[in-house]
Amino acid sequence: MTTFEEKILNEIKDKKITPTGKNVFLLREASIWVFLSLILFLVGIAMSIVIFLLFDIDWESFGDSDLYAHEKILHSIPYLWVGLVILFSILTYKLLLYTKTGYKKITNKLIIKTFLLLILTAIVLHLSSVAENLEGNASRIPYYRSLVFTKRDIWNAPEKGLLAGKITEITDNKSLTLKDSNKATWYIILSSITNSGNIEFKPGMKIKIIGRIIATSTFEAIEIRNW
Amino acid sequence: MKIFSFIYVSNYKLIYNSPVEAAQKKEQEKELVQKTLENPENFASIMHIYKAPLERYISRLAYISKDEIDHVLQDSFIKIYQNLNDFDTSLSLSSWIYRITHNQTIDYLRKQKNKPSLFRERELEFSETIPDIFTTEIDVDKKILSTHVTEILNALPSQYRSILILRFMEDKSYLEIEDILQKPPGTVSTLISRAKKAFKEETERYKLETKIQ
Repeated sequence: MTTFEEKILNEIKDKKITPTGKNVFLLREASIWVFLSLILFLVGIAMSIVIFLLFDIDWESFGDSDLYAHEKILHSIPYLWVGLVILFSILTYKLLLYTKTGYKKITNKLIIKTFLLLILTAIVLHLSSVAENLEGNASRIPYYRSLVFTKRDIWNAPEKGLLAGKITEITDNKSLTLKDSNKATWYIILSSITNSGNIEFKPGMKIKIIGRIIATSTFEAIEIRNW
Repeated sequence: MKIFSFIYVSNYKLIYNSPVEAAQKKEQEKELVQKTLENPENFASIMHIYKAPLERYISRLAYISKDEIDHVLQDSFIKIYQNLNDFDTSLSLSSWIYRITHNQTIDYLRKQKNKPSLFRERELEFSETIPDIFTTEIDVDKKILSTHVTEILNALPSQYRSILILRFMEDKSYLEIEDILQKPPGTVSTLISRAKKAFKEETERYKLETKIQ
């Protein structure tokens, strides 16, 4: 045995160095995989919200603007959520490299399969309205609405003559009651409607209204559109 | 006189010639690690096999003094001993040990970032260990390479430097390099191509700057 080997063995003895227990490594590995799965789930959530927001674009809100079609699209992309999808995806990749065997599994095939699975998950979450509810809950976060602007925000401006919500009751053919996105109840006057697009009103139906406030919680409709 | 028990490993090879030999080698490695876990004195066998190659690898990867190489090597072996229960039997012991040593060396270099490197002092020693395959694969002027290789390598990003050293000086296979650097399959060949290109460009730039003919 050489001096070097003796030196190391003496250091191991003197400092009472012992091999770290197998359970510690197993726990570490399991923790990384749990965290990785959670982040992957967040990728799916973020993707579903992106899909929801893209389908939620209110092209009518652009009105007679001079924007070209591609500019309208660029204006409408939910950059915050797209950024979160990218960020969480990178985090997933980096975490996978930290696992014992993860780096061997990262192939183009795996990336494509995972991406398709995430898209499928995102579509399911969107169709089941989970994405919409989550996005709605996100609006409680301070400054969120200054970064993400939705159709709901555009039509939640009664002071500007734009109101949207769910019909709760049809009083008669001249009025109905509606609950907006803030759960506030509005009494809608229909006598001044110039264009209702032959919509058949039903309780539970979502509509958007152009009109004006005429009294507290009372809105006179000039035009009604399907949500 | 202290008597230490050794595991006698004969004709230890880093590259396997057949699946049977590969399986036998894996069994031997597993046994070696198990014996060390049962009795720390057996760690001397692992050190005996790997001291010289790791010392050479650290000296190639980091242009540091002999004392610092010994320091990094000692830390690496301590780390290897501490992590024996984490040895993944799907890897070769060599790749696993090289991985730990590589990470220890890189960590050491990060902490010593502001210290000047000793590549000029160790230029001759380093250039003597360059195998011919390095020049034929990368196709650069051998005259430049033999006298200025450390400067050129040192100018490259550490990822490129590591991969060139592992492939052309340590003679590691692509699979071994994947395991040492924990890179996904397929990325090693891409990295090697980029590293070779970067090395050639750096050589040309060096020639221009120093006006070497």
